[in-house]
Amino acid sequence: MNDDFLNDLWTDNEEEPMDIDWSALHQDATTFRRTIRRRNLLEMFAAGAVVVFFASAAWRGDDPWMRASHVALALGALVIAWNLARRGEAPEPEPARSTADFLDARRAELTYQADLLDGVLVWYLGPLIPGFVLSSVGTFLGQGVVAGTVSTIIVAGMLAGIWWLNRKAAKGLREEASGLPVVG
Amino acid sequence: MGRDEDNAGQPFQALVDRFGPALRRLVRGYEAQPVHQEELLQDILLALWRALPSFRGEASLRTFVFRVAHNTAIRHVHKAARDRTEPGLMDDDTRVEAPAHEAALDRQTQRARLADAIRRLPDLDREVVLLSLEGLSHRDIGEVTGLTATHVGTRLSRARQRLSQWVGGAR
Repeated sequence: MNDDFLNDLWTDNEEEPMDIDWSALHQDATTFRRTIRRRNLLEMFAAGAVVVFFASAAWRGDDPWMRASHVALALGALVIAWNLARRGEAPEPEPARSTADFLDARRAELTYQADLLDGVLVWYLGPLIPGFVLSSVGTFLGQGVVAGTVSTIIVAGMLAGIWWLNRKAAKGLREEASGLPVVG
Repeated sequence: MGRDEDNAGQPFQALVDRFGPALRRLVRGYEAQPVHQEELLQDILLALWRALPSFRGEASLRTFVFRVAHNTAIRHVHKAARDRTEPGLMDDDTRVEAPAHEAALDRQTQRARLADAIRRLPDLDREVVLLSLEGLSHRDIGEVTGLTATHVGTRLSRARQRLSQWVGGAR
């Protein structure tokens, strides 16, 4: 089987003319930009809402342990918001680069995202842990061993679940990065 | 659509008119299912639409288009492999089996077998083969991929040998 035969076979088909759906294309481009902007805004808004909620709860509360817990959670949310703001985004690889350069950049992007997800215990969950510990102590002291144990298990389970989901997502990103071909 | 996008519309339409058939063939080399081919085609058009304003003519327009298209396709299939539960690139359901009488193969079936064989190649071999089938020289393929012309030749020769084995006697 010679090369010309394969080339002819591949290219001699009459292809349908390509009609560009301009509105879909425009919508995709707009949606892409909006999604990034909306996600960043949503993250900051959620952090702000958590700060306001716990700060007001601390202001109104009576139990000193719970007030301390609410202050710690509000501060934790502020630290998370700061982390979200400073972490930025991995630069998206330019698709007009050569494949070799593009793949290097794509690997770097995926590794950066995976590192972020792997470190979620430190930069996302960690700042909330002092507040949750204080809250558990307050529940133990104020409502007894059973309520304290139940609330501690629920919170610990929730944190462990978030951590596990992020680790799983990071593993998928690392697998994708390692599956990319290496040029050279 | 804004003023900038209106201005970009004309060159983009010209680009699609010129490279549309090649892009349609390209997506068949990466995705087996028509619905996935359409998704990939849309991704490529979007990537070209976004990248076109940055085209300064350092490379030829053909190199630019093939770079964007193949990089988008490689990214697409690897991301899809992570997201999808069903197979994509190596879809056994769409693989065309060798018929009992090779001579009876019509052109359409031969082409489907070739596309299937191309999808079974490793990423870079697939890209090199698809570019070669579009008529690019080793040097031009090197510009798109970042490989040296010698490296392109080696890969191409190995990949074509595998294609011949897989498509086997399709003539």
